Amino acid sequence: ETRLTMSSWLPSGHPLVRDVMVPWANSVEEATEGRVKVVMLPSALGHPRVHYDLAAEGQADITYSAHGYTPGRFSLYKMVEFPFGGDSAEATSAAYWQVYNKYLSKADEHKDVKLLGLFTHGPGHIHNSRRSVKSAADMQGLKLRVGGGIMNELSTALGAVSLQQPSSSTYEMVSSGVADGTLFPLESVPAFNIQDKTTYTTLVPGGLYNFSFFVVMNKDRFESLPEEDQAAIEKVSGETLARLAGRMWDTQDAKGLEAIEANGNEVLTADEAFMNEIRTASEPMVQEWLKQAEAAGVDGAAALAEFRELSRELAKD
Amino acid sequence: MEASLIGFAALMVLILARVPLGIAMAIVGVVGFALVQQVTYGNPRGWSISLNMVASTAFDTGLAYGLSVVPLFLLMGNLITESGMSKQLYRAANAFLGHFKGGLALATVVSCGAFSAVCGSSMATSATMAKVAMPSMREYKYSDGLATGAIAAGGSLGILIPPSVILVVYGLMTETDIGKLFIAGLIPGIIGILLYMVAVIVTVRLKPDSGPAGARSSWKERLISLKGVWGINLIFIIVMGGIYAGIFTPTEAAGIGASGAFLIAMFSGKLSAKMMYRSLSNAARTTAMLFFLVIGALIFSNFINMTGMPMMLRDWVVEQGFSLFMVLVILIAIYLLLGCALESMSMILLTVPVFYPMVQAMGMDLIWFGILVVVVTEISLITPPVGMNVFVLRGVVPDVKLSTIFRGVVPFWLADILRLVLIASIPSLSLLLPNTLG
Amino acid sequence: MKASLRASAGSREVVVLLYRHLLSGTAAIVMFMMMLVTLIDVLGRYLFSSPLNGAYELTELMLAAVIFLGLPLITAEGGHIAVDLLDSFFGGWGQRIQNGLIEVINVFAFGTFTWVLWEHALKVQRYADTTAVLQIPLSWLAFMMAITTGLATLALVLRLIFGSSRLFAQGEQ
Ligand code: NA
Ligand code: NA
Repeated sequence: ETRLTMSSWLPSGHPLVRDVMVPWANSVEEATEGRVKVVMLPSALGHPRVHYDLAAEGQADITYSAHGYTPGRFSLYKMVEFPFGGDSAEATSAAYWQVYNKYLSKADEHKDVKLLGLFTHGPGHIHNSRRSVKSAADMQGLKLRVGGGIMNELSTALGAVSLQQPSSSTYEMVSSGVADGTLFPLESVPAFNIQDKTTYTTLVPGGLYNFSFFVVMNKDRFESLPEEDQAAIEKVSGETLARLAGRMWDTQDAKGLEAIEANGNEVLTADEAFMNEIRTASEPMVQEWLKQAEAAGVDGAAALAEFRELSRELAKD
Repeated sequence: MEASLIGFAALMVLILARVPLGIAMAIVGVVGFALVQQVTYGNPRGWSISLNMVASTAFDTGLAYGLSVVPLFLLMGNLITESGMSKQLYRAANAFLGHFKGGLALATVVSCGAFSAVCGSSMATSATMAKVAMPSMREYKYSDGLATGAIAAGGSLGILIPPSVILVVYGLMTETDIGKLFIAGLIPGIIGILLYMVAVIVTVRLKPDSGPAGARSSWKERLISLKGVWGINLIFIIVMGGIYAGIFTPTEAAGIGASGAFLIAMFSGKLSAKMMYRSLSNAARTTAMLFFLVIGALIFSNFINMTGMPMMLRDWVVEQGFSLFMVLVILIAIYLLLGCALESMSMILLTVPVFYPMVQAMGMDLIWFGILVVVVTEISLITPPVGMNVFVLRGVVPDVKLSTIFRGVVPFWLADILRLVLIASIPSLSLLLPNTLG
Repeated sequence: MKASLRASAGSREVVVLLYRHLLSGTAAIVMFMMMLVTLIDVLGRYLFSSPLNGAYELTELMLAAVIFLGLPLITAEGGHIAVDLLDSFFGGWGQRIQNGLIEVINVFAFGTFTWVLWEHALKVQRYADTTAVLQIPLSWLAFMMAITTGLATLALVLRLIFGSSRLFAQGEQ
């Protein structure tokens, strides 16, 4: 029996751990008929941003984290973080895995590890305590808590005052009134306990932004496994894992929307004019990314188009 | 489980052998972590993992935004002290209380409480008040025990009376409204001042030589002395007002408070470049000293977490089907015990993540729990062998023996236990203000 | 002989002063900037609706810098917290052995700490990690941490060789 360790930086009750990582670990044990067991370490071996390194160096055998936590290291993942990636996390995640393997894997950005899976959370929307946001004009001067990267650039381009803080600061900033609101997927609004404050939600069809996650394993450890076990792990990972994670986010988003509506908050959907404003605002970022993709030897335009198309297709199933 | 007990024992041995606290925690943490990885999890890379863990813990703790309140609150305290505002505070308290028996100690307790309203750290409060109050208590022949005891205990109010470094960190860890936590600390803080005053009065009653009466001030002198405290009042209003008006976050309040103290000191013409340099660089020194402890504590707690002890403890408590009251009694006992060996910030970082989900699940208000945790932590500051406030005092008055200070602290320690019982049994002492004003 | 001893003592003092003011001067500047960043960020947010770009991460970087600039100072000055309650248990010889052992433990611990931080810095450099908004490379910070911890180790070694207390006085008086 081989015991593989997994370092997890989210609390054990978080849906990403409870409904994704733990069931996946069980499926690994099942698929290898008990020859490989994934042991969840009782506490994280470090900050979320070091979790890629942890697996690369073998401090833990398996880890998960987000590409955006280590700015400067990866660039192609941004493909899934631009606006209008898709409404279903399961579909965007599955599309992400397929397009990654077809186009992005050429650049070999995850060369230090064995890549087990990629996924996104649900579409990101706008939540605030001030007013209904129906256009970029309504965004003017709105103080929004945003993470780094595309969220930040986009909200600034739309006229908001972007307060860059990690999501863990959201409650402090929103409840104290320092921030008027935040950009979040629906799941996070009740998860960070801000639904009483952010009484106006604007849903952006396809999402204003998204977020890219990975699951990785130490390369030597993976290669040291017998081939049949390697194959068994790959079978329950990849797209299967992406869909498992995406499904979880979709379920949580639905619950989030319920909590927001139960609180009597206003929920409206962005119209075509606002969507165009978002599209225009994001265009320079997309162009910049296309250049980065080209430099990495990847056909970015084709990848992005296929990702959006595929995610729409898959969402229909 | 056994591993964690052995770890605690090894830690005590190293600490009592006078290995610096941060180093002792780090050594036990690294060795324990490596061994648990190898033995329990069968990971052959145990040692390299453990050493990597040290580096990333140090690096990540350095980059922890929430902890930026520590140096900035320290700087605020330094600037207030350098500009003479703390001296004037003590002078005012003395003008009103000095002529009673034990009056200088009473004034010390009151000015510690008032200084706590502009200083986020207990150590900074006791260091400041020691420099201000010790000379005059010596002049009036106060016993070293009473004098240092009053300062060490009074200084502990620094983390309860808002603003407070510890309450900010607690709030960030538990996602509790820091503004509400701050205001919740007010009544327990005032009870603390009153009970410490009782402790002084009782001590002087039992040992009249320990605190002779000082000079009586006229009402005119008293009114004049009050003029010296406007700066401190203004800073308190800026910091707390800004938080409640939603102008800045409690984390940012530290930077704003320090800026406020800097501007007030500069415009009152009392701040020379040299004093500014001293305030800044000594804030950096104290920050380094504290964070070295925090890094050591986090390394140690990584090891303890890896043994699975916290989860076993939680499961055990749940299995026993204890009432909330029983759980609180157990937790307080654990805190008092840990408080002997740990420094306040390390203690909070080590315990709160383990305990708060437990009491929250049992329906306890997290603001009340936060205040309770801070009050027990205050006690740890004056409990031997590791009592940070006592160490700070020793730094300021090196000729007084550690054992003298610990003996002098006893009446205040008893007052603390009484306050702890009050706060644990009457939740509204902590919750009244946040529930009505929040 | 005597003269050369005096000269070497004099240059030692110069080194100590350099060590001290370079570190504490830099720490003081960073500390002041840290205060200023919050002030500018908050004022900008309210008065001009434009908060300071990257204030959050600047604060983080400066916090780390303050800690690790202060570390060699506090180490050289013997300012780490230790418990001396049981010291009277040992006699003169016992105490001397105890002191020696503790100093060796300190040097060993800080030496190891320096080494792992250096390895970590090389790693951060290899990965070219940056901050999120201003894209400031994190490697310079990681190297600074390793270097200042190295200075702390050096101070401990000097204390071990020359005997401690008079070499570095405590704090800015
Ligand atoms: Na305070
Ligand atoms: Na203690």
